Amino acid sequence: MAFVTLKDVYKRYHMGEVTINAADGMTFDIEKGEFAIIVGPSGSGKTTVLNMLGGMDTCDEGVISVDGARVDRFNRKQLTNYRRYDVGFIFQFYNLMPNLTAKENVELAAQTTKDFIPAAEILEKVGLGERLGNFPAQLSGGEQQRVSIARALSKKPKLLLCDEPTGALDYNTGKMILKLLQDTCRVDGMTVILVTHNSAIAPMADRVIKIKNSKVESIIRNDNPTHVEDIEW
Amino acid sequence: MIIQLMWKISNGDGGAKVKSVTRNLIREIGKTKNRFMSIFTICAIGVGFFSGVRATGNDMKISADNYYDQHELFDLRIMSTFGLTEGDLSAIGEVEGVSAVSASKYTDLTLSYNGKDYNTKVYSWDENNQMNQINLLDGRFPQAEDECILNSSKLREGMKIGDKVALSDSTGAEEFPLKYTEYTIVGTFDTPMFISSTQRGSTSIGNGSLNAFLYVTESNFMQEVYTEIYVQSEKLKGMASYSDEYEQLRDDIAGKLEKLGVPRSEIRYDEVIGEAQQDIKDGEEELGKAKTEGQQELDDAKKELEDAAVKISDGEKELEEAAQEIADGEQKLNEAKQTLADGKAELDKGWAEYYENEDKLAEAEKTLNESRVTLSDGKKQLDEARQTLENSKAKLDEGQAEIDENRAALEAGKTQIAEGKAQIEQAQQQYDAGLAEYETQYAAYEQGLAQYQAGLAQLEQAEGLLGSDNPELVQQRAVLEQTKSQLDGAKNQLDAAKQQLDAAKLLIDENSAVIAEKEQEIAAGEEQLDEAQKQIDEGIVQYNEGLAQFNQKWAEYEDGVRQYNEGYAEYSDGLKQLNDGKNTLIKAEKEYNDGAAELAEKEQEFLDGKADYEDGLKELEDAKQQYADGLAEYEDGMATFNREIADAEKKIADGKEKIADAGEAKWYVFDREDNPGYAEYESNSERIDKISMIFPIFFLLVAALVCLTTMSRMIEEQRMQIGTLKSLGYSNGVIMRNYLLYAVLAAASGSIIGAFIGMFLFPFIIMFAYGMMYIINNYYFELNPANIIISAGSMVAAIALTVFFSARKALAETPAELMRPKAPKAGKRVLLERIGFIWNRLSFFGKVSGRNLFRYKRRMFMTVIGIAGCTALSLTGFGLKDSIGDIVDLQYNSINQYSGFMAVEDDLSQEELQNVYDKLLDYEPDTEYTRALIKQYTLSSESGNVQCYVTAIEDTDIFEDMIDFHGRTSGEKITFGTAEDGVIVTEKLTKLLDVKQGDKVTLKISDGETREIIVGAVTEHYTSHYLYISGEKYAELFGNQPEYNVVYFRNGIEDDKEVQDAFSEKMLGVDGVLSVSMNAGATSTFSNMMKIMDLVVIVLIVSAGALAFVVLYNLTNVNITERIREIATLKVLGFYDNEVASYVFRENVILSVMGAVVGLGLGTALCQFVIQTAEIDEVMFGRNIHPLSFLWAFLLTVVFSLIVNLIMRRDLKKISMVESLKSVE
Repeated sequence: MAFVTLKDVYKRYHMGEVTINAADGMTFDIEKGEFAIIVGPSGSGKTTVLNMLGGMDTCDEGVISVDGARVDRFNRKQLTNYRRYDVGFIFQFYNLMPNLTAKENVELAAQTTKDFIPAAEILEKVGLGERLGNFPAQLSGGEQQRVSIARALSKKPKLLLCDEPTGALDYNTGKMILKLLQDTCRVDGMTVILVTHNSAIAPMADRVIKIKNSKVESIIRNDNPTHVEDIEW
Repeated sequence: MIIQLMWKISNGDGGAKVKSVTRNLIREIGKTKNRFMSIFTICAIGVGFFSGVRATGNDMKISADNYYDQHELFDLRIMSTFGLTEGDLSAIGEVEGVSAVSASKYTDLTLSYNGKDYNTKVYSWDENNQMNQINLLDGRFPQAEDECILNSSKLREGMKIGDKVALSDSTGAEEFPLKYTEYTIVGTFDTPMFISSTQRGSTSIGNGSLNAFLYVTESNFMQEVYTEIYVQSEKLKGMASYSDEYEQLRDDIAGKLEKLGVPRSEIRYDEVIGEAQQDIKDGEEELGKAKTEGQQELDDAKKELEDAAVKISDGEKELEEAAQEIADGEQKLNEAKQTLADGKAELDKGWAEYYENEDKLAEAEKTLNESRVTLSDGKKQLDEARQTLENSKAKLDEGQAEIDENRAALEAGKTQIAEGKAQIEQAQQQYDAGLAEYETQYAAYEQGLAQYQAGLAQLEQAEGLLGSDNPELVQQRAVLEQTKSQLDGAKNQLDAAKQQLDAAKLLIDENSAVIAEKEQEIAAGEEQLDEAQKQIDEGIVQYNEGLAQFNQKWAEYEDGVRQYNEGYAEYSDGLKQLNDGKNTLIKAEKEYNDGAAELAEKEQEFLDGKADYEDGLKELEDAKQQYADGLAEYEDGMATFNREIADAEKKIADGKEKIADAGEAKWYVFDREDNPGYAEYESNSERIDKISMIFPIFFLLVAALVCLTTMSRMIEEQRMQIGTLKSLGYSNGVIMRNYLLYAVLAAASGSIIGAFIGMFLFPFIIMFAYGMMYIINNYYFELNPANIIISAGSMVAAIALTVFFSARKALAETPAELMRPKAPKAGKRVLLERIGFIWNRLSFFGKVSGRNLFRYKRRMFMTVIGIAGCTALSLTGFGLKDSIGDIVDLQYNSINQYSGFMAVEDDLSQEELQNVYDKLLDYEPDTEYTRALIKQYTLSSESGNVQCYVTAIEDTDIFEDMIDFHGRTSGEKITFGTAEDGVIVTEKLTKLLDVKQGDKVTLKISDGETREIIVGAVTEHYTSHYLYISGEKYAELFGNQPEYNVVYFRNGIEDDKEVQDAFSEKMLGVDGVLSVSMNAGATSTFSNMMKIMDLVVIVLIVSAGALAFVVLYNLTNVNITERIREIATLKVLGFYDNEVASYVFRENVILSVMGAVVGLGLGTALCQFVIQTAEIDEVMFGRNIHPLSFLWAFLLTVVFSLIVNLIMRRDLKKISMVESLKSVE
């Protein structure tokens, strides 16, 4: 069994009489250590998939398994534990605590687990060794996203989930963030799943899952992913 | 403005834009139910409390006024030392302003029930009296003279309707004032004259305090004059009872009445004294006359008795003669009765015979009728039988014809069968011939086939030998083949013939079967026909028999008819004879009746005569009895005459003495203030008024503050939406209107609903509480627009203004600025972080909370102030309770050290005084006592005038043990020696006059005469105002020696009501003692009143608690809404529910504790302020808040905060990560 498996996953929203399928029988696998990109237009259901994978949302039907665990069967408490120990989240708008310094923001995540990478060390690694004491408002967008990545990585997750991480960043900064993510995958063997509507960056992935109308349109395995620096968009 | 806005919107005046904005508004309300409801509730509580509590004092007075008006309570009451007369009544009625008068009698008596005595006022009850209407609660009004109704609260002491109560007079008057000494309770009542259920006023009997009052019918009263006259004025009735205008007019009328009293008293005096003197003179004259007249009467009576004796013996003789006459008459009467009875017997016999014959005839007639009916029935049956016979004959003929027809048809069938049989036989023959032919042919064919097979065998043999190619063989084979084919053809023909033959055979068999069947049918038909023929033959025989029977019956019938006619003739003869007999009898009967009537008449005459005789006999007996009675009476009269003469002589002597003793005649005019409870009720309502001066305002302020915080934050949160609307081209006005409407809708609806609920709720609760002490049980609520407009208006206006300014600020920005999420307030290091030794000890989350708290300073302050306000309100409530509750303890237990004081006559002689002291020492040898003069004077300073009691003390050293004089704050002991000038003034008095130790005040000792006094020392004191001086100082100030009217004593008497009552009663019995007031007794009255204040305070505390709860809920709710993204982020990071909750609530709890601490300080100040404002002039409230109250107020806030947090945990749990984090996009 693959590291991450989705099988016939359905997510429905009921709006009175109307039922909207946000996930309409999605099936795909992602192997351990892969850099997977889920790409699709707005409203196609890619974020829903990511939320379900991250334990922020539940599916109505189907199998979601991560590292052998049936995430779809988790109860509230198990889901919280799953988010706590197994998943790192990176958002488009960083979601940092505005009232905590970069270091404290990372430490906040570390509060939840005993096995963590010290905040200073991980921030050093993402290139913010000099900005430990700064508040988010004193950091640029790219720097904030790096703090967010550091926060996600500090608790040594099994899975790094990124929801449009470059959506709010300029081209070059975005590229740097993508590089950081790719390096994390390549160097540390982290399994990274990235959701984006920008198909131009697809070549950097080991696996590209195209989603359209809440369905998986295609799964392409890329044996020779391009390095981020070589991608232009 | 607001109403206009709403009007516009509801009219669609603003067009489509406004409509969608309005829709947006409705949706916004739905989305933020919590916030909307918070504002709604806070406004409701704030405004409800304000308008309710403020209305209460007034509502109390209105309710009381209505009660008085409904029960027609008097406005003024007049008493006179000489009683009041009809003349007084009409004179009073003519005084200007008086519209109704009513008179009544009463007397104070001791009521005994179940071994206990009650001091009771007994009033006269007149059912036509309209004034001071009694409210009958149970039972009925008295009808018989020995019935009474009792005031209701006495029922609690076991008395009930149907019980008897005994009344006795303890004053030792020679004449009991009522007709009876025992009365049956028939009902219970309340009266507007006694509204307090604890205070009944005072009396001159028993221990001096009135326990009960009852009404008996007016005819019970021995006295002729009225005790009281009640006066009502139509004008006063129209005024509110406790108002100034009422009091002014009342005093006016009272003045006129007092003036009227002077001449009326003189008249009354002359009347009574003159009358008494005349009475005595008349009495003496009468006595002389009575003596002679009496003797004459007695002599006359004696003579009458003797005449009567003679008359009685005459009567006896007459009666004996009459008895003889009666016996004769009776014999004659009996003879006549016998003759009549004989006649009657004969007559009865004649009638019996007549009735017998009549019955017989009736019987005969019945028989005749019956036989007539039988005959006609028989005729009908015969006719029917004839018809039946004819019918059956016709049917028989018809049947014979049918049989003949069928027989012919059968014969034809038989012929056809015979023909069919012949045909079948022919066909059989043909078939047999065909079959023989076929068999022959078939034999030939078999032969041919055998030949062919032999040939073929040979050929095959040959072929085997020669080979099949041999031409000869070939030819032979061909021949053989041909033969074979011929043979096959024959075979086919044969088979066809055989088939035809089989078909023919089958047909033959079928036809044979048909024929056999037909034959059977024919046989059956014949059998049936024979049967039918037999039936017809039998029918004919029956018919003939029937005909013979019919003929016989017909003969019988004709015989019957003849017999009937003969019977009828006989019957007619009988009837004629009977009628003749009847006529004879009727004539005889009439004769008999006439005879009977005559006899009855004679008998009645006889009976009348006999009755007359008996009456006469009885009359004689009566006359004898009368004679005996007359004799007894005569003897009694003689005795009475002697006694009465003696009595009259004594009365005359008494009357002479009384005239000598009678004092001066004088009127006293009282108003309602003298009714127990009347004035006290007013001061209670004023106390509520005073409390409602400041407390509700602060309440409203806290409510408004929290609403403002909420609304201003709402606008901040809505930046994005404001930006969107703006960018879509909505005008600032329309957007503004949206938020204004939201705020005004919430605030106005809450305020209005709160105002209306509060307006009833708070007055009701408080009046209900007072209802336990007063009989006023009808609650009136007056709509007080001012209160509602002030509270609701200021609330709505404050909120509208907040929204206006907040929204204006936001609207000033460009849409782009607004739509960009406002950069979250930059995090920064707070001051606390610089204090390393604290900061470093905090846990990670401790640091986070610390920084959060100080980052949002405004929020922190708003929250702390809001919570502090609620804590302050609770503390004020508790503090008020402490202050009021303390009064009793401080005044009566700590300050008043005396056991009680007695009012004594101010002109006691030295011996009388010594007697009073002896009695005190008798009771308890270790008694301290001293005399004092207590009198009310007006004391004034630049700040105003205050009525106070000037108390001059005979022995100040002893008095210092009676009252603990000390400064309240300093606690320093005060003595007359240390106080400047020996003047000690109570604390509240100095406050009212705004003076302090060493200042001068002016004492008005009489009109136009004043004295300057220096306030020597100020002593802690809570109830009433006193100025204490020594007797010497008094003499110096007033220029004369004090006429002491009070004796203070301290004898360590047990604090037990019964012991104290017994003591009071004992002392009241001492000459010269007017009343006894026990210190402990005053305590109980006062603590009753305070208990009710407790209830009022509880209302305040509960309201403050409710406000605190809503405020905390609202603030926490706002807090969570503001930080929803942070909370969602924590959830994404995998924080457990309780970790998330503690992250949020840690700050809330810190803020609550901070707020509570600040609130305790604020509350202390507020409480002092409220107490000083709420104090009524007569009383000083305690100034201390108990430590426990601080604790309660603090705990209340913190516990509410925890409860709110617990409730909010649920909401936190419900926050969706996905939704909350999405919202920014």
